[in-house]
Amino acid sequence: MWALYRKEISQYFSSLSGIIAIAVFLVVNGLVLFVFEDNLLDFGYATLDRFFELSPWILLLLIPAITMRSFAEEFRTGTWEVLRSQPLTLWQLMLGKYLGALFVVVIALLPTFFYALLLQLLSADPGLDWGATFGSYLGLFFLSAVFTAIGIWCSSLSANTIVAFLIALLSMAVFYYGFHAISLIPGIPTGVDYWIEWTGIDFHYRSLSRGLLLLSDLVYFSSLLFLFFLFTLRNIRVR
Amino acid sequence: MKKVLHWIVSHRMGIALALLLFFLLNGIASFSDWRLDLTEEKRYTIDTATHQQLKDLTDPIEVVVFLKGEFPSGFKKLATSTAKAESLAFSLPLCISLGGSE
Repeated sequence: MWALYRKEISQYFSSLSGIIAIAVFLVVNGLVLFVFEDNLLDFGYATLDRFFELSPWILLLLIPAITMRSFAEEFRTGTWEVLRSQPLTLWQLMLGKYLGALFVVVIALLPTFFYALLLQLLSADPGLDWGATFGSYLGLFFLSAVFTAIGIWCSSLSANTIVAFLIALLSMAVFYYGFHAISLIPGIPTGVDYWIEWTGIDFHYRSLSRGLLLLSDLVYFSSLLFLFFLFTLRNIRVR
Repeated sequence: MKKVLHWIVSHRMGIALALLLFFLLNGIASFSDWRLDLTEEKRYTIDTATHQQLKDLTDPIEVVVFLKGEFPSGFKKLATSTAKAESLAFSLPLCISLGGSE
């Protein structure tokens, strides 16, 4: 499994796709947060809230681009047969692919720690709320873990990488924003709208990104992750 | 456990069972109110002194929030969430209303 994991990572960085994904993430974040009008420094408060609001939207575009190839390419070129004949269980195959993709995403997130350090150095005495920032990073990590699982699942649906990319984009958008948007439609009875919003990721991400760690949110993220693992296994099993 | 997983992965109705387990697990978890407030000034935790003070109340409290009229979107958001709190406060001895001139 770790051999597959290492192969995935070296593939991301030798074909430039991983490096470009990371570069795009950092450039867009850097421009919006520090260069364009209405940026973090104009805001006047030492908080990274804007970063944690913006990042999910950028990840929404980048994670499908990272994960789209993982299974679809294997199916298309026929190397899936070779991989399948290795003494690895389906779980190991999937986890190797998954962890390889997640590694690239985490590498993209790590340098943003510099933003927090920068705000701390620029701010007046009490500085940044490090506890809340840590919680927000935890939230962002859970979000990217679930997004990556959704991306891997979409990649296992078809042998066409573009199809995998588009389906992943759509399902991530539905999970991140769609359920929230549906719950706002007037006419949906109160109570039902709460549970519709609850199903979406945004609902749980919001409390985490404010620095509030709830047991129910942790259970939500880990079970959603597991759910998409099972869906992926179902798909690759019949290939 | 292993059998259940295998059934979910291989059986035709596996997705239904997986979804059922997902909602069941989360339904149970939603009853727990274990939380960890990571903010430095404990922004989302009610202090014991506040708890005591609220317990000692005898009369209902009336809160009037002056947030009516034309606002930039940030304040509009605050006004809508206040209006929402208005409808959520029915179980408490609390009366929240939006005041101010249109």
